[in-house]
Amino acid sequence: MTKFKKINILKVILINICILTFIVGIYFTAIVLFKIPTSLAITLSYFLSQISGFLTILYILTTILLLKLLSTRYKKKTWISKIVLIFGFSLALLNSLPLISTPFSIQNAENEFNLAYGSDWRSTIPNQVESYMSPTQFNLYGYFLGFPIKDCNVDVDVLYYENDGLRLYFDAYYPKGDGSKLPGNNSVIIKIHGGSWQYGDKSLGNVLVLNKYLAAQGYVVFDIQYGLLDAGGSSFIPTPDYVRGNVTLSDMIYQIGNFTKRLENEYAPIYKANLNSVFIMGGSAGGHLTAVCGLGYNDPYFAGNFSNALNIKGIVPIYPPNFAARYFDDEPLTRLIPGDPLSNPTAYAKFTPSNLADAGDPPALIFQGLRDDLVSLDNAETIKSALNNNGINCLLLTFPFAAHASDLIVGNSFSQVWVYYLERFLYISQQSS
Amino acid sequence: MIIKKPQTIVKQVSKISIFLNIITSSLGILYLIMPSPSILYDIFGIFMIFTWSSDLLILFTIDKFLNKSSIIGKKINRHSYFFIMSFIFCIIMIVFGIIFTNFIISGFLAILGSLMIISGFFIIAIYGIYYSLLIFSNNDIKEGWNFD
Repeated sequence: MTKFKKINILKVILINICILTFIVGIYFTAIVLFKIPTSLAITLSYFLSQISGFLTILYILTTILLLKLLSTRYKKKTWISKIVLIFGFSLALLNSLPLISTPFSIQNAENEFNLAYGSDWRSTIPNQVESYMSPTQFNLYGYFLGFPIKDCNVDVDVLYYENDGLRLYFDAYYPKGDGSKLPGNNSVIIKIHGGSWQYGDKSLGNVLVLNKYLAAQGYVVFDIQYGLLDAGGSSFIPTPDYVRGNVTLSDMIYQIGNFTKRLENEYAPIYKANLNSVFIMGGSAGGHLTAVCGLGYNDPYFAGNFSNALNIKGIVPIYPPNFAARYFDDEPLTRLIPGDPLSNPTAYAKFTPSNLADAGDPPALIFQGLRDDLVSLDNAETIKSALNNNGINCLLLTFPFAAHASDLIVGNSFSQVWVYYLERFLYISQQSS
Repeated sequence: MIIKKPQTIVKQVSKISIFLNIITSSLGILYLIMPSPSILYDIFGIFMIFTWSSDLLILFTIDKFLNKSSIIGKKINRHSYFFIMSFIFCIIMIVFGIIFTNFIISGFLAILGSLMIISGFFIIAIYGIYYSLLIFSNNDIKEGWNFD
């Protein structure tokens, strides 16, 4: 085969790869922009909006490559080039929308902070403290080269619960030096992972880059496991077998409560944890459990479940499901609450976080993507209204084009804005009496 | 004057691209040594986007001015393909690097992730300098271009 023929074959292959990229690109773009109710599309939606800036560049490069290849083959058919040009750049423009929408997320967050803490809320954070925090809400190097990973101490797989065939562990992330001299002041963050109450794990599934970042700022982060419902299904989310069993929501809350008691008695001295300043944080199902634990901490329904020594300064539910009757209505999740809303109305009411809101609750910061197909905005809005109606600050940070789990890659356009306001919320809440 | 205009534009854009790629590479090295949050790196991020945009602009516009039947035209055309392919490969490498470093805390894959990001960034920057320099230094060779 001559060199000329080889080059021609290579060009044909490249043209086909470019066309295939565009076809896949249409599907990916549709997922970023619209709800496509297939399991593959929902799974892809977790990641695509987080990397859409990279996809924008890839589509521009593909367009340039295809134009070059076509110019050598179809010298006279300039209309083909025009179609490729318009199509490729349209695809790139649509994929850049999540990135372009960042100023709207920032403006919304600013409004929420101004409303909660007054327009001069930044003055409550000393310059020396702020020097440890992200200087700006968003930066391009963090987006395209990744979030700088901070150094801290990490203890993994500490067993805290062994019963009913379940073994539950936690990982502890804590500062290398004296945490009391850092913004976190050894405040505790209990992190609860997501996974539809059936799947998921600490560490890998619980934004470990953020755990390290917060620990380096002086927080003691306990990334915990809890019992998960084993309904026989499977998922792409890694889940250890030893945490799965015939578990209900009450069991999960009991296990988390058990952790708070062991934290008080055993772990706080080991990790120099400041029990006077405790936060609970979690995403998705973990966001629901965060809201139930945080708002139910003082509720008589959960009396005796949690340690009384912990002072909950704030909760951070991330895309939290709120309505128990909506989420625990069908198999297998209906097994999480015995009975149904008619036969067991109290349990359904108490596992709906907005029903637990009262004037003694801690403030809340909520992350909510506006393209979340699994947990819609009305869940977060209902929790916010319930807390605000009781005079408690609840800051709802919304992110256009952010799908479910859009905070997983720390450094993306949503996550950077989120981390900027999260670290400030944690500090301001810590200082409140 | 009208005939010379595209030639001047190509020369200027390639000159700007060389400058931007050098600045971005230098700030990239600084970021690699001291990766702490700073306003300086916010400027680095803006430079990086301008640099990548100038690289894409050159790749996009250069094709119609190249005389691909000449030796230098062939050489630049060949490097255009290599640069586009490297750019695509590096962007994919950076994406996977970021995913690895976000989900794996330590071990081989975490190191590999960081290496993928660093090498992806610097391959784009170094090839960007070389490619822009190639265009800039050969801009005056008449037979390589179809500026008229």
